[in-house]
Amino acid sequence: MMRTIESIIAIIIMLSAFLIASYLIVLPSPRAVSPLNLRALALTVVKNLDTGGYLSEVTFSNDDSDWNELQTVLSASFPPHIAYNLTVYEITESGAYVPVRTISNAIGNVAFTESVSYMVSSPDVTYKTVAQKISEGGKNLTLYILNCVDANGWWITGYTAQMLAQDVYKLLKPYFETIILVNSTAQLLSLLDGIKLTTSPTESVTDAIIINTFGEVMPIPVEYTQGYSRQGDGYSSSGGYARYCYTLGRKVRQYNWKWISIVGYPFFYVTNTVRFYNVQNGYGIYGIVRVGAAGLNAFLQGLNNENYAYDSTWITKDITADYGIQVQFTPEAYYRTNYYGIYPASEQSASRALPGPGAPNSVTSRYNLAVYAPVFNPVYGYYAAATFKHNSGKGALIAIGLTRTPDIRITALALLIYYKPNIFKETFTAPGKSRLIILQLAALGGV
Amino acid sequence: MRDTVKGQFSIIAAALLAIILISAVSVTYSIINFSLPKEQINVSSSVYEINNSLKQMLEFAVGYYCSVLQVTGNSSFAQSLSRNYLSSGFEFIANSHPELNPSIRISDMNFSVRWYEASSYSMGYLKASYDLLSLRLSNINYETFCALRVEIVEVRNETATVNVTMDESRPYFGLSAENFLFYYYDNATSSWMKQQASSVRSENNLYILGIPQKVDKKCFLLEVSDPRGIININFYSTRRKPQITYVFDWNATGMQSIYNQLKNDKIVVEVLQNGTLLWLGQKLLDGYPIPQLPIKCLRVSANADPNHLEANQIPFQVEDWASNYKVPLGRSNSETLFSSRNMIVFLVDHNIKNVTIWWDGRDNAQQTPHSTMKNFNDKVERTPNNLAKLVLNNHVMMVNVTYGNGIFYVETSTGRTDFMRINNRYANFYASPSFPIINGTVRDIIQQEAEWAGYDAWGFPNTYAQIVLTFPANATYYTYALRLIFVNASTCPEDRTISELTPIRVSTPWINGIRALTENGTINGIPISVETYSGKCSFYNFSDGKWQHHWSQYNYSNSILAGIIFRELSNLNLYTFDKILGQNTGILNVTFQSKQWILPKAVYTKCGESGSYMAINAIDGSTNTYWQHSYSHTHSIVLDLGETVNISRIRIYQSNPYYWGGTRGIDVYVSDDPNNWGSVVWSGPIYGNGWVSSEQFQARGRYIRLVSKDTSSSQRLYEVQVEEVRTSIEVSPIGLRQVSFRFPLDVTWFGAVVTIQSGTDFIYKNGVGLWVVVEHPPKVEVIA
Repeated sequence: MMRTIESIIAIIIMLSAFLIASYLIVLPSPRAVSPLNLRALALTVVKNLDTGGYLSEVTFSNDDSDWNELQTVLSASFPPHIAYNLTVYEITESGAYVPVRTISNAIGNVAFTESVSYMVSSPDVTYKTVAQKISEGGKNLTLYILNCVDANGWWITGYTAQMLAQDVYKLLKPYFETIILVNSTAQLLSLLDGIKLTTSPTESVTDAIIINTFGEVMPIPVEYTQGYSRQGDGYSSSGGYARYCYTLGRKVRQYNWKWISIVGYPFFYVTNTVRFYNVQNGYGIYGIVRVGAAGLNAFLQGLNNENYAYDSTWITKDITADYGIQVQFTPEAYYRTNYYGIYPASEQSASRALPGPGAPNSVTSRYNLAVYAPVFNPVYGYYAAATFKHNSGKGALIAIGLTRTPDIRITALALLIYYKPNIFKETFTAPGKSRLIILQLAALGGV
Repeated sequence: MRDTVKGQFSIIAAALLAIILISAVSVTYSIINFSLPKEQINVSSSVYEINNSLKQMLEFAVGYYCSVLQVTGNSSFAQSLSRNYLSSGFEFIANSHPELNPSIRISDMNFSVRWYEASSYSMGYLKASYDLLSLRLSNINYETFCALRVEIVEVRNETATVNVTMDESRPYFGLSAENFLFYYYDNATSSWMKQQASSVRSENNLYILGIPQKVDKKCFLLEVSDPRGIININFYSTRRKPQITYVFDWNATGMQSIYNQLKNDKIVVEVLQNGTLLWLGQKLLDGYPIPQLPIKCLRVSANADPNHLEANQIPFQVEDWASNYKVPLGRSNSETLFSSRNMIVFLVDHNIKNVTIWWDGRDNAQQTPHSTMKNFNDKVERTPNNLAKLVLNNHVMMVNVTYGNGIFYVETSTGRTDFMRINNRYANFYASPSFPIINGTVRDIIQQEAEWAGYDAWGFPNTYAQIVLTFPANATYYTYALRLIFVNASTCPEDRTISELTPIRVSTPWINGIRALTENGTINGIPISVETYSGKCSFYNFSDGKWQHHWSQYNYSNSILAGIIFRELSNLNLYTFDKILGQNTGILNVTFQSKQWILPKAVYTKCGESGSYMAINAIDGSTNTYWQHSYSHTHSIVLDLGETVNISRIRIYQSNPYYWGGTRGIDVYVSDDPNNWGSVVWSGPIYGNGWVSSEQFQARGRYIRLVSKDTSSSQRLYEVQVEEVRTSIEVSPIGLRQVSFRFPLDVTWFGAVVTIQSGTDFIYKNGVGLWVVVEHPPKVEVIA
């Protein structure tokens, strides 16, 4: 009897042990033993989507239909129990990530357990070298090129002003949204009055850049000449048309222009072939009236917003003749020749270099200017090509005081060194050029 | 009792078994549950993700490198920018994976391309190591490579078959028309333009592309870009080689027999971007445009096997020009991409059968020394009268360019060239000439501007001129391009009336035995030479509708010779004024023995001078100043003429009562050696008011010594001039009738001034070698 009971107890103990053991034998879910590699899955999906550049293209698209299509593709790429959340981030200049767009199939709160990141770069930047348009304060600047048919040039050996204008146009076209040729002194008058020359909405007179392709000669509208309506602003009996140069300086200040003189002594002559039909410059070229060194001084007075006073002091320096040397590129100029692929000779003859800090008759101290973006190393304080910007921030003169024949590439280089428009993004994270895709995944339910 | 013990033992055994069973199961399944591969999954996918990011970044960087190379040929600069770009990308990878906390180090990286061939590539290589600190992993090494290779397999009909592979030569699928851009050259804008393939289809892992209509099927460029941003540029030609060959057919000239006897007929050939070949400035051929390669990649070979060009390289140079090849700027920087601002120049002669321009398409190609070697020994000197003189020396002859104080002229050993005379007024040259190229490889280039200062209604308002001279290596001539720019004169107060226009005048000192020969038409294709024996002989051109006078020259015993040759086609510009007037206006003047009064260039010595009455005043061109030595003794002065000249008279400007020489007169000596004067060449009285001349004499020398026979201390020498005897050739587009016009006109005349040294070139039967080169250039064909 006892044996039976003991046997029964032993059996009960064994059975209980099996029952308890059975309770403990819980195999992990298949998902846990062989979990879905969501991370690898996510990476594989984004890579496959970007084969052929599809994902990169959609990332930079503003078309809703593209994004809708991407959502459809994503949904088809994952098993039904996988929730995804794809977010595209823009990388700002400060390095922050700003979400641009999100597409997801998750409903309600989903705890995404895995995520991958994937970089895309705008095709427009990597292999289509589109130069940045020259701008200031977020506004694309307008370039005016003087191309007046009723004006004659000087010190532009071998060129005509019109052919120079074409050369300039071709060279600088990639860097400007708006380039306008000023085809007559009448158009120049409109410009001086701040009136746009076209109906283009992108044209802006303020902050513009103006290149004078007439060498040492400055076109003058007839209104500013002696005996005409604006004579007071254009002519004085003692100083001749230096007064016009003064007015020009004031205009440059007023409209915050960058005025470019491409060769020689700036504002040495004025020209209007109709008004000055019977005046020649001493070399048989009619339509040109000599102003002399007073022109530049008057211009700078106007730029400095001081009263006009006739001053015929010759202030430029013939570096090559006086010191027996040629001027040489600055390191920045060397860099920019490579950056923009423009290669004028790195050594030039400079016969009309402007005096900067430390030089006699320095224009910087006299007229409150600062030297920016020199193309050539200064020689005893003289700058052969540089931007002289007024300290007020209003107006500048870019003076290329090299010996004729002008090499218009130097002019282009001076402008590009000053504004430094980008052609290539400098870092991967340069704003607007790259985006980051984060794809998050979660496995919902199932075993 | 025993039964009871056995029963208790069974129970205890069962309990123990139960405990063991339960424990074993618990432990086993606990281990299973807690040892899932989640950790391994995180490590492998993280490494995979980082590796993928690195590979992606390399691909972007290669695309970036390619885009920089489309702007500049400076591959070092492109590498530097690209490396910075890649490094910034690695920073980005690190920053965008904070959960992994990666730290990436670059061991090695490189970008390279080989473009502008039928089979081209762009590739990048990266070797890096990194740590994933969050996962406690370090020194994970990763090496990767990416590439885009494109081969133009075949061009048939209107299609091109292209093989595009990526990385380890895997076919690149999924490209569309926007990935394939063909280049064609647009002559209107002088630039390469791109156009998408007109169609794309895949066949057997190849792409069959429709070639757009504007593209030349025999020779074109193809740009392939892939979605990673990587670019390739291929050059296709029927020979499938990166080269363009020009074949020179001298037999086609019909003058092979003459050419074969020329010794040094070096001519510069200019190749422009649009493929035009120029010979002495006139078009020989419209060839294939030159791709926008970096200058440093270019090579030139002559008489070479297309498969072995390296061994037959010849010197060449690439030049920068502006304003549609009118304004020379200098030699091109080697990193420049070839454009419409550049031209390739090299020398040919009748021994050259073919010239091949070819290139090394690698980004790290070096500039060949054949394009940088110096074949000149040029230097600047000062003349005795303190003018500057640029001496161009190509080791065969020297060309001296003298300038300063408004003067500009060119001299060789056998002649002097003056430029730009209008209405009998020579130009002034106040600006120094510019020297775009000196100590060149193929040629030197000089540029000058002519002005007419002190203008006072001379009759040709709004006129200025540009002069471009080139001096080839190993040649005995220099070329000229004389460009007159008549600016619009419609508002000028006077007509532009030109009665005489001589843009070039070559004169040579009188030498006994010299002969002047001029072409005056042809018989059976061979020029007729007309000799000028004395005085001036004018050849009127275009009288029968043909330009007949392509050259004029001086012979001296068939060895020393100087002359002018004119190009055929552009010389038709000389008829510009004929067209304006409707009549013949131009002449070629050959003057045999002409005389002109010239000013000595400098005072060599003088017996003394008093106060401000310096000796230099006697040759300053002003009759208001004078030299005076207030001392009673024999007065003398030695004047330097600057060169050896033939002299027939002297004249002095005199003023009563201060006659220099008094009433007794003067003695005149002439010599090339100021220390050895020899005999008096003329002696006699020379007084009167104003200009007073000596009698005629014949002398030759550089220095002239005047000795006053009067010892008076009050005598004054106001001015002295010397009558020089020369022979000259003048090209005068206006010499017969005057022309008046106010409209703008821009006209250029091209030619060459030849100097032949003893026993060299261009001499064949009275010098017709000059003519054959001008009038019978070779026929040229292009093969690509």
